[in-house]
Amino acid sequence: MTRRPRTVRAWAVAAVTLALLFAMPALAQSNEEAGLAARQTRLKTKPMHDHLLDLPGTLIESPIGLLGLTIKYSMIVADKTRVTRRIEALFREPISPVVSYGSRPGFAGGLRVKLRGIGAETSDLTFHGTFSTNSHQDYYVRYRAYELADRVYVHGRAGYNVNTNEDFYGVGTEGAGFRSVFEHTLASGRLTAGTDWTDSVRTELRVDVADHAFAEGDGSYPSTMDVLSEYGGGAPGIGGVTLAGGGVAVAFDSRDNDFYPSRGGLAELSAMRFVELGSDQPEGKEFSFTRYGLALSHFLTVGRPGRIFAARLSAEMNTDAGERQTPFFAMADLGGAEDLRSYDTGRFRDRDAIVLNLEYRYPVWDAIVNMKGGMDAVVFADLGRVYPDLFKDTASDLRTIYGFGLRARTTDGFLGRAEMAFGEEETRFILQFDPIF
Amino acid sequence: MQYRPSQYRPSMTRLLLTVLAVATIAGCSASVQLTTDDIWTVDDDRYDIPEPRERDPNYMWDWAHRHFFHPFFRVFEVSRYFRDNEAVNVNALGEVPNSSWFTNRHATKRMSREELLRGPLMGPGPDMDAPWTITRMKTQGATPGFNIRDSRGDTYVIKFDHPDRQEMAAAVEIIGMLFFYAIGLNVPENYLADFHPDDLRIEEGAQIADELGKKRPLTRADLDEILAAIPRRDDGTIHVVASKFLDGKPMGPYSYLGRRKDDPNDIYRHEDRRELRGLKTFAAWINHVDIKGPNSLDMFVTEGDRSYVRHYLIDFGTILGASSQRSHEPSEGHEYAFDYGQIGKSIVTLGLLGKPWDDAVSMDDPRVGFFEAETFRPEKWKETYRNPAFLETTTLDAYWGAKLVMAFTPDEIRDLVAAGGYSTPAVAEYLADVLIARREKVGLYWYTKVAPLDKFSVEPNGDVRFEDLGVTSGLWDAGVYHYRLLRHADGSEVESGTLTDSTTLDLPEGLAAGEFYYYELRIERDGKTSKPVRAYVHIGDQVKIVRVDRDT
Repeated sequence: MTRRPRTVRAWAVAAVTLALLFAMPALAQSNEEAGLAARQTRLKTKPMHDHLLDLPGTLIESPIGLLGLTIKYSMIVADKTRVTRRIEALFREPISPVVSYGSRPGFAGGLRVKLRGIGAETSDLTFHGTFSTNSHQDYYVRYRAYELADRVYVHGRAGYNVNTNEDFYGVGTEGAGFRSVFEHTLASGRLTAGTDWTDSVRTELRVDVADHAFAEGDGSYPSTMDVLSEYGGGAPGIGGVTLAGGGVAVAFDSRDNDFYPSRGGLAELSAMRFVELGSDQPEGKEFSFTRYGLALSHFLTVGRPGRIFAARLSAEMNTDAGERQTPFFAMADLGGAEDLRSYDTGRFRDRDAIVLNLEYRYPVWDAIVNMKGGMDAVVFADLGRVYPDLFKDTASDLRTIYGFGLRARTTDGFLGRAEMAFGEEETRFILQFDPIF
Repeated sequence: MQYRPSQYRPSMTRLLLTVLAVATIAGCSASVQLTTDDIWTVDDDRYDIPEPRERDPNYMWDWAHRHFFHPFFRVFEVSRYFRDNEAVNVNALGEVPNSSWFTNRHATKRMSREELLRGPLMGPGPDMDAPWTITRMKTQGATPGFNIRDSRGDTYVIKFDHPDRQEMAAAVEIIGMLFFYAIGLNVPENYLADFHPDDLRIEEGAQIADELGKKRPLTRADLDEILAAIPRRDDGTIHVVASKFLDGKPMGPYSYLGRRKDDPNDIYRHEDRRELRGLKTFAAWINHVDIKGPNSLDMFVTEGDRSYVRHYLIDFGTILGASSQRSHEPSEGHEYAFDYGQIGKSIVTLGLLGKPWDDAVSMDDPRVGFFEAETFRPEKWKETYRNPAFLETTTLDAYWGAKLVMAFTPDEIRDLVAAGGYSTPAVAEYLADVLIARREKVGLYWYTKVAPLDKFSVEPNGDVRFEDLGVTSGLWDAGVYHYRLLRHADGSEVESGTLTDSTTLDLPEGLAAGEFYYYELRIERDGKTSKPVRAYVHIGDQVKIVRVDRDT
């Protein structure tokens, strides 16, 4: 394993410097009021908490022709008639049904039980289980205490997940050029404990344990194992790995709203060390790496309220520890509705990745009766790439995506987005109920 | 003889036949069909009918239908492009006959100040000398309300002001009632009242519904808890508006689209009724952005040996600057609740174009809400919820509505606004000033689009008189009126001339008895000449105005 030369690409320096400069006003906005507001919104578990039923899940995820269509569902209670109140009460905690449909999992159904006030006033304990027609399984127990002690929060999660057709496009800046699927079984546990040092600054300790096992996929696309044996290419860790990790994160958050900010920013830096606990490989343990994450975002209201310039720079680096490697599933990946929007989820995968998302959001409709909120339009550009070594690779051409869309928002949160993203490989329509950043 | 045009909307078959027939006879004659029949002044839609079923529309569906489905499918309603789209229940003078929907009042025959201020009120309101008995409690919605029965046995709906906007909702309910009654609509009797909570009794069996609609007996504790949130006056009383139950049996709201099919009297599609289409101009003036089906009520009433449906406009809580319990948003009156055009414009321009109301300013008083005249454009005003009848409003409908608005003098407007009972005169003065300024805009726009030469009559000596409504409403000074008198049969000109400082036309001698003639009149003002108004007369034993047409 050769050590990475610290030859930093000029564009990366420029981008990071620009982003940091961009984030500076956010640092300057760390006044008590903005911080308190941000903290209050952070305590909400859902962006649409006051307006929607709190039902998790993906309802529809289905390709239509050349367009990929992803729809997550929620129910809007716009006008609280007696019927909607009854429906709301029916699905109100602690027990709620989970119904979903996705092109990969198929139809899925299950139950979720959510208990509040366990151990702390602002806490919830969730038991969740779903099973799909394509044999996807998702079970977890999650505990979240937002104020376990003064300014201390804890999130814990233990889960078992089976994905029978997870995508694999190969490792490398271009990928293998075709799609394959494998079955991924994951048993994991995660514990996060954090402290809000001030209303804007928080630090976290994170501990992860995860056992990854892989098998032939469901046949919807060529099997990853067959592809790898026939055409070569690497997928380190495809034989199965158990990893444990631990690390720290620090965040400075001055956003006025966690889910749909109009001003302020978020700067987050994290580092985690992962080591292999066990392996099926005959040669023994071969995986160990350190992951560094950087996320800078800033939101600037320009002129009238609602006109927002938003930018986010995200970078992830996974550094092999000595002769040990980074397994393929732990590498940075790009693609999907959260970063490079015209590409499939996980279309690019390598050790490092960097992505810049730029958005101009502006209001086009404000609801005026009964249902507060409205609709924004957005024009955006995504630029990003994966690298075997961000500081060494000479390739500087970025994948560039541009597009436009509409966002639905409530008074204090985010409802959903519909976007058209145009890129080199395909054009994608996205309908999603999660904010991108 | 009076006649009632039949419901005219054709089926596709009838439409095709009609198109063929029209194509065949086109060019043969384009002349106006005239008759010496009496002008149709009463649309007798009060025949005895069996009791219709109560309508209980789904409001969510109604909202979706009006905002999404109706505008969409209306585009594909082919017959609309081939027919005369003017209102159907209009007489030869362009006026609306009296009916179960509408009664010609202030704009036709001026009401006295006392009549205007009394409006529909038939009595003194709820008896304040004896306790009220609560018969039903409403806890859902922005603020609570209840129904009471007074010592006379009359039942009222009691509505409260929002705690932060004392007097606003109650005042606009009174003001709206008076204005809408004066223009000719059926409205409920609304009374201002100040009651003391100690003077409330709970009727045995009265119930209260929880947030899920589950009912249980209403208790004094419930009542006290609800009333605790309502601010009281210095003497401990609570200021409310008491709306008297209407006579008859409620049949649910009417729709501004289509007909009530189980009412044989209801033969015109509602969106084709002029009093509903023209109501848009009046609603624009008074800023009734929430003028929708659910804010109406059909009552099955009995008069003598007839039982029929009478149509009421109810709930005036969203006029002027009020929007029920809250203030109007500045955008209300400028955009539909879901306005495709505005949304598209904003998307295309990246939100860089300002909105008309960006710099709008209203009096800063919670009793006012948001109401101003500066950004008001009568022709561009939009109700919040798309009203299907308003989508069909033509220039002539709007002109008719403008006449309703312009019938109110500034002094009358001040009197009617003051009747809202504002404790601070400055609030009433501001609202009246805004209404007066908006009235002028209404008049200047629609009286310019259509020459406001109206109220044609024949003097005992046979002269033809008319009114320039722009003059009589104080919009402008008398102009110059150019006229031509033509023989209807062949269009030959009998005479022409100009009137200045006069609105009386001397009918010349020697006109053929039994013939129709018509005056074609135009106003010249500020160097511009208006489009013509044609007043048709029949020369018989008496000279008679038989028709008035206006170009738009």
